[in-house]
Amino acid sequence: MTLIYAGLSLGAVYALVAIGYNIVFVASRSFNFAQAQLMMIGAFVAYTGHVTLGLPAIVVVALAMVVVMLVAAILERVAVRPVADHQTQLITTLGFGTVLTGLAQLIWGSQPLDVPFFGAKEAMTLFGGRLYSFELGLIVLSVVLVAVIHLYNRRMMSGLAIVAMSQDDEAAVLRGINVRKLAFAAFAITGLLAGLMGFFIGPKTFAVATLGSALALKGFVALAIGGFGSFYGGLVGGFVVGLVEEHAARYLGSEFSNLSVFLILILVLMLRPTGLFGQTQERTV
Amino acid sequence: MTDPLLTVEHLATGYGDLRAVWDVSFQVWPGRITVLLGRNGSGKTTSLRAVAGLNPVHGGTMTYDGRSLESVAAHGRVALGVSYVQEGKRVFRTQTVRENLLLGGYSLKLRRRALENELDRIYELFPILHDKRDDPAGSLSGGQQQMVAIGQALMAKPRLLMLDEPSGGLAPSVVAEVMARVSALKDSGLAILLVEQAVEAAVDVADHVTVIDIGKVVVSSPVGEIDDLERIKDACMGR
Repeated sequence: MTLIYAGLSLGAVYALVAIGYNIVFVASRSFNFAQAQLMMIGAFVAYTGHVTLGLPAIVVVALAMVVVMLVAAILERVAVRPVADHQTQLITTLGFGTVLTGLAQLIWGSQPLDVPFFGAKEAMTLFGGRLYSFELGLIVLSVVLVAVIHLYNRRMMSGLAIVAMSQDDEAAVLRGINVRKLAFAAFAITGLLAGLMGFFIGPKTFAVATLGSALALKGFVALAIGGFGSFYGGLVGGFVVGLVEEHAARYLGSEFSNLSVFLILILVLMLRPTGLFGQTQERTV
Repeated sequence: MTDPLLTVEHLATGYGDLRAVWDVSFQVWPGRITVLLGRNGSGKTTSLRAVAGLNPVHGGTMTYDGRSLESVAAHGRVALGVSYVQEGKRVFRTQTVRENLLLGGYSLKLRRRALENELDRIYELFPILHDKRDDPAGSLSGGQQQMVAIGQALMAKPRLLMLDEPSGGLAPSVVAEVMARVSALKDSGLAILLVEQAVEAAVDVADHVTVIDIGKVVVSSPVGEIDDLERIKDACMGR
């Protein structure tokens, strides 16, 4: 059970990255490869707020969310909006992410920093397994976020509009939807969420400048397994990657953990090229 | 005759720097149907896209309700009452019929609860959409998807409705039904601009006919003054 908790909480981290990718993907059909770096900044800001400034946890969360949202807004203006083509945006966002990694190293150094969580960092026993409070927090956060986003996209007019935009942005404009404004808002919201996520993942992964690239890859794998554009898919994909990684490390040896993850990815993509929850793209001409 | 709601004069437009329309003028009146005819590639759709704000204007003027449209962004024109139904039944395929119709009313800036009340107007016009309201729009037949697309446009409470080949790809019996519905819409005072390939079906419902070819107007006349349909047909064939 302890191993499953470890797998689920690690998977939740990947799922959170996948959620971030998905929000931008659904709103603007483009990939934000700086998503994981935004979360990394969030974790660092949480460390500074908590440890350096000694602020209360709730203020730290708010601080991390606002700072990362501002970074995400700059990212949109600098690396996304001036570039019309989605494929080029892969490179510009990747570049922006690399700059963020470098900046984090300059500001916070290259040593991993231990980010505290709400209350004490101690393990508890649940259903015969042991897990930390922050691990439970991660799992709950990822599930709740996906459920909230799903409801939002079905119930709220702006949620419906974002889903519509992802299918046909020109048709969305003709229904009076300000597509550019909503795409920008989606970016800002991913920033806001990345700050929140950074606060939650920090205690698990530590705040370290190389965190971004490690998460970016696994988050992408989680998304590919789950299916691009599907929030439930990203969640399941994240949990699959986390569980496989922990179990392979435990029973086969840590050198097999990455290998097993990619093996699963290849298997899934061979059986279902659009991912477990992906929709087959149909186009009418 | 009442004043036109939309007056397009000497419009030049295209895609980016590429010009497809050189000099097109037409007018649309409240409670009347203006039909825009012309062969494939003559610039009908491009002209409609310019009015909707999707294509850049290179020259000429578009006056809507006494004001110039050019300074208004495409999504803002919907709020002014300009609704454009594109060809090819471009509904949001994965979303339900109800969600599609709700999105049609997006420009009204109402809460969802209030928008739900507006749906009845559309269900009254197209009862089949009420039966299918929880089905994904992509699963409907072509004719029903066209109804969803027109229903979306009507949700926005438009004053000008532009329909781009509403009969395209539909069975002849369905074409007649769609045309009858379009004709009925003008009685509520809606100004309708209709682009069609099916010349006879379109002229049947038209009040005014404008024919364009290679981006220029070749015929423009009230339908009562057309004594020879063959002349219109010839013009549509580029002769």
